[in-house]
Amino acid sequence: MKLPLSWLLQHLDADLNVDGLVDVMSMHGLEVEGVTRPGAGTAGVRTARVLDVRDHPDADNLRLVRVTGTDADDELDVVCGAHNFAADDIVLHAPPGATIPGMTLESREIRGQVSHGMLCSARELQLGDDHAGIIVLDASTPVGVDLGALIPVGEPVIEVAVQADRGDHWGVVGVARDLAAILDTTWYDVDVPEALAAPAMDVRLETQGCERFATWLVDDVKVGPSPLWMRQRLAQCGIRAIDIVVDVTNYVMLETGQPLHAFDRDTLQGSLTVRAARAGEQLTTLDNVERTLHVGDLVITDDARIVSLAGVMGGRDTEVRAATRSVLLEGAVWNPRAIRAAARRLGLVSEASLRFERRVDPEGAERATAHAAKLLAEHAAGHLNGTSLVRAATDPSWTERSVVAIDPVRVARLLGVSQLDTGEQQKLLERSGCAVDATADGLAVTPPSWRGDLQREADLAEEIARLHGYDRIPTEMPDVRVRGGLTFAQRRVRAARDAALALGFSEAVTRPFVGDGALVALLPSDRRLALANPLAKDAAALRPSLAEGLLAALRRNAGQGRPGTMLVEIGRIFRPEGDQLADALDAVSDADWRWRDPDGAPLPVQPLAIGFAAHGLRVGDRWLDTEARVDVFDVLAAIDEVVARIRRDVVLERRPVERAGFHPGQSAQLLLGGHEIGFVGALHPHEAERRDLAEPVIVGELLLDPLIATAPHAPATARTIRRHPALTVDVALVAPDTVSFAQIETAIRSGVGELLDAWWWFDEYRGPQVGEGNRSLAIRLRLHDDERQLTDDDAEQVIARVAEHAQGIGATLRR
Amino acid sequence: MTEIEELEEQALTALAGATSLDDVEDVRVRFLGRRSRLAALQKGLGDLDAARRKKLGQQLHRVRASLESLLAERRQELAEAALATRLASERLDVTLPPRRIRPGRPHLLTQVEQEIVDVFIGLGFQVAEGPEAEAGAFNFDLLNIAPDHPARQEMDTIYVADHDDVVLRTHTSPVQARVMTTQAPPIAVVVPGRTYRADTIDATHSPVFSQVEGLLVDEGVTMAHLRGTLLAFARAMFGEDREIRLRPSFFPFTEPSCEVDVSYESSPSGWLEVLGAGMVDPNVLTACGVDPEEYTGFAFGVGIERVAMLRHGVRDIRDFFDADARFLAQF
Repeated sequence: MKLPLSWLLQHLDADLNVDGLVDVMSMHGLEVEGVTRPGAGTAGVRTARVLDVRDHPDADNLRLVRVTGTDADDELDVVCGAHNFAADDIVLHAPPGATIPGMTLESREIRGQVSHGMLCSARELQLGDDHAGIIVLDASTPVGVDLGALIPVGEPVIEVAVQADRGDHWGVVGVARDLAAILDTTWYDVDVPEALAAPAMDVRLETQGCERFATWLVDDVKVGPSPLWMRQRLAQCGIRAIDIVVDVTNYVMLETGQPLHAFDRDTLQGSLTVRAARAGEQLTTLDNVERTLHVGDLVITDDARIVSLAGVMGGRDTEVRAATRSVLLEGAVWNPRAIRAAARRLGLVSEASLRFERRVDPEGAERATAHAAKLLAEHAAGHLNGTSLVRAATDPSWTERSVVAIDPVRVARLLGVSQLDTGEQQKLLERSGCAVDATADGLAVTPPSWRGDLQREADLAEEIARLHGYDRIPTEMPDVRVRGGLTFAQRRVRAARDAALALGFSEAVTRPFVGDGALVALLPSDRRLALANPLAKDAAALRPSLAEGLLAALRRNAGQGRPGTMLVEIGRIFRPEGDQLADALDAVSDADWRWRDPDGAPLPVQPLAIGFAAHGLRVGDRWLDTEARVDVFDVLAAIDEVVARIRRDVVLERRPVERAGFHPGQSAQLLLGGHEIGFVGALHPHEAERRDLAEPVIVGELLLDPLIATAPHAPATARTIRRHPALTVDVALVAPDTVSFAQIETAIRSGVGELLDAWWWFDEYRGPQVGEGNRSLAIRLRLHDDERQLTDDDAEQVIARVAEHAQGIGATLRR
Repeated sequence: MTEIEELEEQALTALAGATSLDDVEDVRVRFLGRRSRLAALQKGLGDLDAARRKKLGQQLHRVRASLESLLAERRQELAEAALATRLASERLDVTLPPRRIRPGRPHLLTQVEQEIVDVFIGLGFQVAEGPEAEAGAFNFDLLNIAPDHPARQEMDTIYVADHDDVVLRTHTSPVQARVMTTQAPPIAVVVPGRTYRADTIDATHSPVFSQVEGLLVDEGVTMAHLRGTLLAFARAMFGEDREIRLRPSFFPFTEPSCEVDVSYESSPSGWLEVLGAGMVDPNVLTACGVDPEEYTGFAFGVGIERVAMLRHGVRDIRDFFDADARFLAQF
């Protein structure tokens, strides 16, 4: 809502400049979005009379205009391109030395003729967007007067973001009234004529959607342009001037917040009826669009047809035209819900529907209609010939005002302001226009008709606080009576992140939307959680996997010329219920991992996961090591560390797997209790090429929720530090390539038994010495016994047992 | 000059010419070794009479001891010279950047989120979570936002297809309802998380963003408590010299409602809007099964991106979501 300063102060007794006003408004619930000054920079522009108009000798479209600002001595020639005026018209002349926004005028030659300044259009003075012609003023306008003496050109216009519950702020008077309550001063309503005895129109209400319907009949109207001051205010509020009738309805709407409609009375047949639209009915609205109405939309009909879509837009066939002589002004109060529904459905949010949706003052419709009638009488030579008012038989719920009982002690306590006693609260509410009675239990408050937002004690508490001043609410610390802190699961998530970061992965946060063809790392499926109103085609669904967002991030970094990037992201992944992801979650954990709606129905599957993506160079053992590239083991190591930080009691089983989009020989499922909860793989060369990423590109993903849900909460218990020195034994096992390391590890573990303290592999050899299709793995074992010093005999026995168990998997010990 | 004296002199000359430990060893072998002339003389002592044996023996002993001591001295000198050479050759430019494995950085949004959450944990709050694909009932209805409430339209909601009334939560407030419908007061929680709006991406708008919601419900919670809590938050996050101011505002789920500004020298007005807050609307309490006659509460919602942008001078909200390593490495 835009509020020209002069208009606001016309209705408010306040001694404040614009900055003071903005401060007061900001601190009392009128959020100021900005202050503009349309037309600022205009100086020296004056009214002038056109003496005569001649064609420019050397330009077809230009004319030479002789104007005078005062008397004959002051005659000046101006070259002008507009054609909407003639001799004797009064226009706005910017003579040499005058300024208009962005320009200083001087005498200059235009096609061989000297032009002494210019004649101004509305757009040039920021008084509207009309640039087809210049401004022609009413014939009664005095000549030679500075524009600033006629209208406050360049004055501040305060723009307010109106709160959703404050329909009364959608008019200048409503804002002035609220400011009067805030400042404890006087406000001035519009001055309106008494209702006439003669009826304006016969109107029947056949629906619940209309609370009242006021009409004024104005005859003998001369439809012409509006006065300059009205056009300025419309322009300041961002509304285009059309003609006096349309302008008056808009002007009164801006001033009072009550939308009005003007019919050409002579196009209406018989009487008016307000009813709900029926199936298939149509209306061509003012904007020349033929609209099919929805059953139940509120409409106004005459005896022949629908003439208006109530509260949203009038019909084309009954609109006011230049030739209109008789105007029927309508001011009605419509059900906000009905108007909102109709406007949304038709995609037609108008200045009127916007106000009706937010509830207009039901007591304001008659005054606004009368005010408009008066303005038409004053500025369009109209005669006021009738007034009618029809009201609904019973007050509908949306205009009902009930008495609100409040307990001032409780209100003061809620606000934490002890000095707000009953009397003070009563005074503040009365400033807001409430009728307040003291009762045995507190106060009985009847809010004013324009404050539909004041319905409960809490609403009145806010009103009291607002007028008392939010800045007078004291500062106290609450006594928080719960034990604060992170939960076990929340601490584990932080630990998981820390582990990934420590291993060199930087944390990314990516937008969780994907398009078609998104790569899925973990538990792949084609099922997507699609969006009903996606922002873009490549953001049509929520991510089923963290892979896609991280790969896009790798690509962006590669595009910056980075030789290598390692990223981690922790976030939710999304699948529809019934996806195999849900099956895996069900299988792994007994905990109820599903999010549900209030009725207990499950929401889409959305567990927390940690994702990794890495490609290119990593930091090697030496400086400038251009050979150290990431591989699947970097991500496997990171996932192992993440798992270890959450659960010391499990090691995920790794199983080779072939998966779409991934290297068939470099991909592994990570299993917990036989169920996939993680995956690591190198991108398939085709997939890497498609993404313009240099290989190797490694992706990993792990579900955090089931891992955390099944993690033991018990703290770690200390293991005795060994006193006897360890014995180190190296073994080498030769096995066919088909025997995985995991199998070899199992054989070694069972072979060595309890003496095994630690082990690690340190060499992998393929070559003639071990035969085609075989490899030799060298493994160092650290053996230990708490009770005694181990000897060479122990070593021999261990080697023998490893050899024995190796045989079981088709491996042989190499001595 | 006796033979022994001659030998001694030769040995001294040889030793003087020794420039390495190997040279020194050669001298030792030549003059003191088993096959040296001194050794032979030593061996021949047995053939001599007692008087000469004694005299020659003493002579031999003196020369041997003297040579051994000189040899040791020479070895020591050479070892020290060698060490000095080695140390000189091992000189490093210790101002070179060290080789290191760089740990990754937590995302700025994570850092700010954790910092905010930790402030409230310090004040005694717990941390709650909720789903991002959320039931409309939690996101709207239980929060006093009726289906045709204007605020519902203004929220630019992204809806999940093929589901009845599932939305991408437009704020973290639905978790308020989740907590209140499952726990009895006293309740003190903060809720960090991602939220969504159908906003076109530009420098200040993102369809995905992050919030921290706060909720305190107990007997006798007042607006003064809200102010005190938020002042503590503002000072912890922005500096101990900060002040806050509350301005009336409207949220469907709080009444009274306020916008909260934090004092900011570089802002023209001296204040910057940082969060929205208010006393939990009685309708919300009732809908969530909390008796508004018995309990009151306050709630607030902080935009994490907003705090991060203010504190760290981030000018473009897109930087948070593009994962550019040059951005990530800065914090």
